[in-house]
Amino acid sequence: MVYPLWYLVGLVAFWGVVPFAVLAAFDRKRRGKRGLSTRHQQWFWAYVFLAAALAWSTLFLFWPMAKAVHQSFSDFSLTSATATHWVGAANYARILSDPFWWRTVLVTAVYVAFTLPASILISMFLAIQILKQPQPLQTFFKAALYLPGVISPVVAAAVMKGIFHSGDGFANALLQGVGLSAQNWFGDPALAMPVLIFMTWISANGVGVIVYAAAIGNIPSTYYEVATIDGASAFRTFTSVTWPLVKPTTVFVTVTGLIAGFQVFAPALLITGGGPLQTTYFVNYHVYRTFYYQNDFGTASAMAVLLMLLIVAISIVNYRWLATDVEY
Amino acid sequence: MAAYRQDHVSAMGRVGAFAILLLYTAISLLSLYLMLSSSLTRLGSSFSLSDLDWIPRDWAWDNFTGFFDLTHDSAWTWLRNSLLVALVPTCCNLIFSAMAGYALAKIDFPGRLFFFWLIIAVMAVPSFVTLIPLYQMMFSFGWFDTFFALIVPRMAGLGGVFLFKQFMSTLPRELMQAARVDGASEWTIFWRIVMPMARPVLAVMFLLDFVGAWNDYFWPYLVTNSKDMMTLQVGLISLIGVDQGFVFPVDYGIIMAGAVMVSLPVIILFVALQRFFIQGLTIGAVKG
Repeated sequence: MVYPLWYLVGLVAFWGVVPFAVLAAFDRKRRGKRGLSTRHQQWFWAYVFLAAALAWSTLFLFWPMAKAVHQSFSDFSLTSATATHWVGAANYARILSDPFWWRTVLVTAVYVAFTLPASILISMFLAIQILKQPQPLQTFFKAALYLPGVISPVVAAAVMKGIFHSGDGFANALLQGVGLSAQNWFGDPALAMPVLIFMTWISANGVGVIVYAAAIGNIPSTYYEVATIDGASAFRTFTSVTWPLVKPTTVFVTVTGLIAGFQVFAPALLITGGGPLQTTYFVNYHVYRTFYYQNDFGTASAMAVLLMLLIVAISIVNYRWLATDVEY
Repeated sequence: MAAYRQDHVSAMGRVGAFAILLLYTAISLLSLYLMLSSSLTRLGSSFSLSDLDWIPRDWAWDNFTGFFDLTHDSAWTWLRNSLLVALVPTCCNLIFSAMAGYALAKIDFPGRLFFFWLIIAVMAVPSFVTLIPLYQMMFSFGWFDTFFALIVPRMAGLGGVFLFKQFMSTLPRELMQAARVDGASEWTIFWRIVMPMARPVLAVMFLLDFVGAWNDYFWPYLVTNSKDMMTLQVGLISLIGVDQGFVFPVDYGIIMAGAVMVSLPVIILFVALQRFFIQGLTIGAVKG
């Protein structure tokens, strides 16, 4: 149990010494000087400061990543009695020709499409309303809106199971109170996903609100004064001043939102189990089932790698599409 | 400076905005309120919420002791595990990430740009890519179902470096140059000059990291097996079930009492540190 800790010790020593030694040796050779200058001392310290972070990410991030990619080309499985084989791109070919994989991609994409743009618009709208308030109220609303964000996914799931219980849940009590009929919520294929999406609309905008409030608050007021003098409507002021000037923030929120959104997992694991009728079977949930229940590590790794490629591709497209330098 | 200066907005507009905010905040916090009120109501195992009132009528504090009874006092072990698993890695990670962030922000060395872009790039790597090899690794290390698996992998990493780098870039370089001229070592500069100035970002990172580790459920769920190694989140999962059910085998009021206890530490921490927090979230987010 203790011996793997020596890997970490070794990696810290490696990152602290080797890159520096190589770089300094090259530099001395190029300049034809002997001894270590102050510049080199700085390099040494830089790598010492980075050593722990790099050692840990080597063992617990880079190495597992490499292994996942490697494993995705094999048929490694805990359940099969046969030895592991190198199967080339067979896993990828099988996944990509499997309609169910594309179904999980579609389910995830629908979730992101209905949560992310809505979250950006709601966050911006609330941020603008917050900036109209006096300072103490601004702080209060920012904190209150962020509060649901510190609640764990497990607690959120437990609470949502109670709210949307098919029998006597709060939501049904509310519906019956106004004379409507009770719903089967997470048991109804037409309702499970909309309910999950709706819950993000009302409780997952804390970061967005805080970030947009800071961004919009930083726009010089002269722009708004000019807009007022020109007689621009509130809507026109928004589309011509606020929206273009907070674009860098929108890029940040969009890209981080895409990365997080495509990895949605907790609701499927803790609330719906991917159902009903697999309407909430997200990509990550598919990966988890393949890996944890079928023990098909090769296929599951290939799926995870495909998800990563998808996320990277969509992030780059969005970054290209949205990123334009804003100067003011 | 501020865009929506108060004098630009009519009194009516301000009141309207206030009403909208109040309504949205109420809806947003409704589920937390329902959690709190059901934790104080005797609901029974039949799960009938129709007799639940907005203000709990029984004030059933025994739901809280019920949670410990239900888990046969394992909840105390889970609480200890949760504290350990959240505090130890968070404190280590804080120091290591600050060191790395300082090097990237304030020391000129070959490879600096490369490591900066590396940190950006790994943000896009989904956690599930590394999950399977890490899971296998825990078995080959003999760490499965031990504290090693819960603590060691999180003690350092690249996730927190970006925020520190962004913050430390804003510190004046002259300060460090002056210390260097006075003969201070790089370590002294970091520990005695940079760290004290980085207190706001340390508070933010502590909060983000602690809340993340406290709320993490999936890694502990994967790598623990025995009741003694579970964290509070995993314990709560064992009560609400995974992969399908919305069946509550036990009293919903007691589960909600457990949920309140699981949430209370992070809520208290958040309320105590929220001033730093709101500043910290905007580091690196506002201007590209």
